[in-house]
Amino acid sequence: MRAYMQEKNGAWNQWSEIFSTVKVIFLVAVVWIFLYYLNQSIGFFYLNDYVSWIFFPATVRLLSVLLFGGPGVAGLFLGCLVTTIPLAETKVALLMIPAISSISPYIAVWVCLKLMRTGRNLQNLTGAQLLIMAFATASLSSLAHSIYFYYNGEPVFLWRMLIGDFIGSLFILYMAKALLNRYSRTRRKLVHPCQKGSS
Amino acid sequence: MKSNAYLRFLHLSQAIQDLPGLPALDATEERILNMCADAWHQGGRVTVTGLAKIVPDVSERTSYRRIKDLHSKDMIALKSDPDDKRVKYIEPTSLCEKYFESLDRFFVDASQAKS
Repeated sequence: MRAYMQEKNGAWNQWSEIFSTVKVIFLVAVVWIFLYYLNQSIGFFYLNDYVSWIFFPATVRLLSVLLFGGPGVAGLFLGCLVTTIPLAETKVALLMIPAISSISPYIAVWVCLKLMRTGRNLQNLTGAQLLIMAFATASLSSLAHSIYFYYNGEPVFLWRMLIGDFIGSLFILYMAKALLNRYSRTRRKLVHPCQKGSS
Repeated sequence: MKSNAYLRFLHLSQAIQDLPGLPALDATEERILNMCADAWHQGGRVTVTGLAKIVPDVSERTSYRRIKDLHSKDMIALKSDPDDKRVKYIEPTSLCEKYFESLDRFFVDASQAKS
C-alpha cells in the first residue's frame, strides 16, 4: 500500500512539474505576443515587419531566459512562431526566425552568466551586469537575424535592430525599477509605524 | 541545489532595483535633502547633529538613520571638522548635485510647457 502511494505521489509530482513547465511556456508566449502587438500598434516605432526603433519584446527574451531557462526559450519560440506566421513567406523562414529569436538570447545569457559568475540562482547579479546582459542579448539577436536576412536577400538593419532591442529592454527594465521602488516605498511606510511602536 | 525560479525572480528584482540611475528617496530623505539644499544655497554648513534635531515631525533617531541612508546612497558626504572630530558636516556629492539639477530641469520644462 505504502509503495503504491509513493508511486502515485511520484507520478503526480511528475505531472505537476510538466504542467508547471507548460504554464511557463504559455505565459512567456502570451507576454511576447502581447508586447509584440503593442509595439506594432505604436506606429511611431515601426521601421519594417521585423525591425522597430524601440522593440519592447526584447526584454521578454532576456527576462524569460534568466528566470526560466529552457522553458523560457520554448515559450519565446512559441510566441515568436505565432507572431511570425503572418509575416513569413516560406516554411524555413517560419521556423528559422523564431529559432534565432529564442536561441540567441539563451546563448548570450549563458555566456554572460558563465563570465560574470552570478551563481545558479542569480544571487550575485547586479544592475550593471543586467545592463550588460541586455546589451549582449540585443547584440547577438540582431546579429543573428541580420546574418539570416542577408543570406536570404532581405534588407539588413543591423544597427537599427540593435538600438531598438537595447532601448526596448532599457525602457521596460527602468519601468520595472520605478515600479519596484514605488512598491518598496509603500512597504516602508506600512512597516514604519509598527517599528516605532515596538521600540 | 536545484535552481529555483522564485529565488531567481527575487534576485532579478533586486538587480533591477540596483540598475544604474538616481536612487529612490523616501519622503523623509527628500525632506532632509531639501533642508540641506536650502542651507547650502544660503552658504551655510549643516552638521549631522544639528540637522537631526530640527527635522519637523521626525524623531532624532529616525533623522540619523535617514542621514545614514542618504550617505549609503551616495547622496551626501560626511566631513569631520578639522578642530573637533566629533562634529560632522553634511556636504553634497556629485550625485546630489545631479539630482537637484534634474529637479530644476523638470521645473523649467514644466513652466515652459504651461506658458
